[in-house]
Amino acid sequence: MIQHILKLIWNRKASNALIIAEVAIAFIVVFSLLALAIRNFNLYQVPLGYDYKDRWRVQASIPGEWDAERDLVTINQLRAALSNLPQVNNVHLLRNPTFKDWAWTSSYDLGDQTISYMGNHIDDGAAENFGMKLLAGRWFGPQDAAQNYTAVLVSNLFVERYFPEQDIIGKNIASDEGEQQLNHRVVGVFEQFRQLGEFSPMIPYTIFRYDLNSKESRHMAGIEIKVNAGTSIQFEEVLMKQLTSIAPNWEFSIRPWEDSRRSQTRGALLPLIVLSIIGGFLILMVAMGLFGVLWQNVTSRTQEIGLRRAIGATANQIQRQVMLELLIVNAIGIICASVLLVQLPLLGVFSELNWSLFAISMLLASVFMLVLSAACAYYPGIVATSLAPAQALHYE
Amino acid sequence: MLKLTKISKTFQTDKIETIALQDIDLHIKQGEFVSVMGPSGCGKSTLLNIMGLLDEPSDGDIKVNSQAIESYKDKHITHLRNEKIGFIFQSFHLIPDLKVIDNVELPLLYRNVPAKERKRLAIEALEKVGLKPRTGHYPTQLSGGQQQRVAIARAIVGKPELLLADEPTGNLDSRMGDEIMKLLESLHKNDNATIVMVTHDEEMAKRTERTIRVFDGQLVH
Ligand SMILES: Nc1ncnc2c1ncn2[C@@H]1O[C@H](COP(=O)(O)OP(=O)(O)OP(=O)(O)O)[C@@H](O)[C@H]1O
Ligand SMILES: [Mg+2]
Repeated sequence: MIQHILKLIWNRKASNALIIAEVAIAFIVVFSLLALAIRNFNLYQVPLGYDYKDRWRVQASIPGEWDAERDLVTINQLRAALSNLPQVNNVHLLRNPTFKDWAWTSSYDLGDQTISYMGNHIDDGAAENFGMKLLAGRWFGPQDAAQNYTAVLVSNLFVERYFPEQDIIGKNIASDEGEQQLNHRVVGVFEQFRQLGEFSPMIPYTIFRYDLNSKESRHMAGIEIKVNAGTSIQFEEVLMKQLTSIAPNWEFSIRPWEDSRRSQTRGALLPLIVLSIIGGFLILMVAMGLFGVLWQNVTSRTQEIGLRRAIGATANQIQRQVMLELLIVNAIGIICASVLLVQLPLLGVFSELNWSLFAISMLLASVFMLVLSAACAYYPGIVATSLAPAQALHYE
Repeated sequence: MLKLTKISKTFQTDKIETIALQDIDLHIKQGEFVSVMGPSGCGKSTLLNIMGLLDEPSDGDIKVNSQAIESYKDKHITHLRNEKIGFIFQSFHLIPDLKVIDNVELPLLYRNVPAKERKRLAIEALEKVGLKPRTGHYPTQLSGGQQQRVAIARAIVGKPELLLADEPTGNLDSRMGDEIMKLLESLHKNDNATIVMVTHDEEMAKRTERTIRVFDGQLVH
């Protein structure tokens, strides 16, 4: 029977080519949507690497050029004042904020590989209090002060990607070419710090120790406070008063990390939602097109089906034959599309499309297409076989 | 071999009810060559379809080999059609996407005959209709008479007890029609086939053993 079906498919190449093309296009659409959805779902599943609950960012806007000697005095005063508030649990510094599309990236060449990463600066104790996880080495501490090196923490991905199977603790890294000679010494490895939130790609991350007493220290305008659980947003006013009394000519804005996270999630999801709606319509159209083509394909063969029934095929056998034929044609369409799609990971067009994402999207898209086409073929098959053979033979 | 008792058939289309057959009593004996004649629309095809179990009568009984058809359940009926009956249609009904040999093999395919055996039997049948050299052709590459011979080969390949032919020469010119008629006669004579043939041609009808005349859905004696 299989041989008979293959013969038929081959002899009907012209009309089957249309179905194959339709299936291939549909498959590519479904595959793309699935890959996108799965990737984002996977990213969402990966822990952030820190706690955002009850942590508020005080963003200062400092007038004029940054002057470490002058401005760090103010920063220290603000820190001390905020720490003294009973509602505040701890106060730390973080140069680039979380959950904002605001990041510092850098890269340098080492041997034949380019080391690129996202970086940030924090003060002593911040990592612990942010709830980050230490995998090796140690956090920053007073022993790092007034040294001839700057202490650095690197993420596990940084180590895995650039220094696999090496003991990175104690090694030096550079922040960019110009600073190659600077002494950035790795003191610890943390799990991760997904600064840009849940939907951001996984990027090697480094955290530099921020030296509150050095004249070289960079611009720092982010004070992160941990408020006691249940502290209401009204506390903002109290904070604001404190802040402006200490630094009257600085401007401040205060925002809970949770707030930033929410609006960032919304921003990340919106294009995805729009895309899935468009994709949904696309799939619907493709499904309707496929249904039309298959319907046409089966009804145009009503006479043939009548004949087969007249000479001894049961309705079930016909159904099975129609189904099998379409599944084989479908499989050919899927294979054609796969040959095209496999070029993506092969050529590395999208760095995010790794083999496992490719494989799972491929598998799910195939299942989807096969189920869809089986469903599309089922009804015309039923209709075609429900006619008495005498009627089907005269069907025009 | 085939016995119809009080067979009636009405077609219900929208609001019109057509009585195509009314109280038909008919007995076809083993080895008979019978022709069915009558004006257009009198119900000849309907009668043949019911004899061939292609359509369900509205009323009446059919016995095949003195076994009554009790149910028109797909499986049972299909099996009978496949094993006992061979059809020849006015418009051949060959599958254009299949080669001659594959068309002829078709009834055996549904009987789960192994491929080798199918091929052997199909060639044997094609030999009988004189088309052995055309096994590899597609139906569209053949003349009308040749196509009908392929259809006959398909009808006899499963060695059915009853051959039903609905105007087998209706689409052919007289020379080709004669060819087909000769073929049916030889199948009747040499293979002792039971044949029921609908025809509009008195000359052809005369060549059969018995002629049944239908008028307005009823048999005329
Ligand atoms: N499927 C159907 N639905 C409704 N009416 C039908 C159907 N098939 C046949 N009829 C009607 O039944 C009657 C008998 O038709 P049938 O085809 O048996 O005639 P026929 O004797 O074979 O005619 P012809 O010589 O033209 O082939 C006709 O009036 C026809 O219109
Ligand atoms: Mg007729």
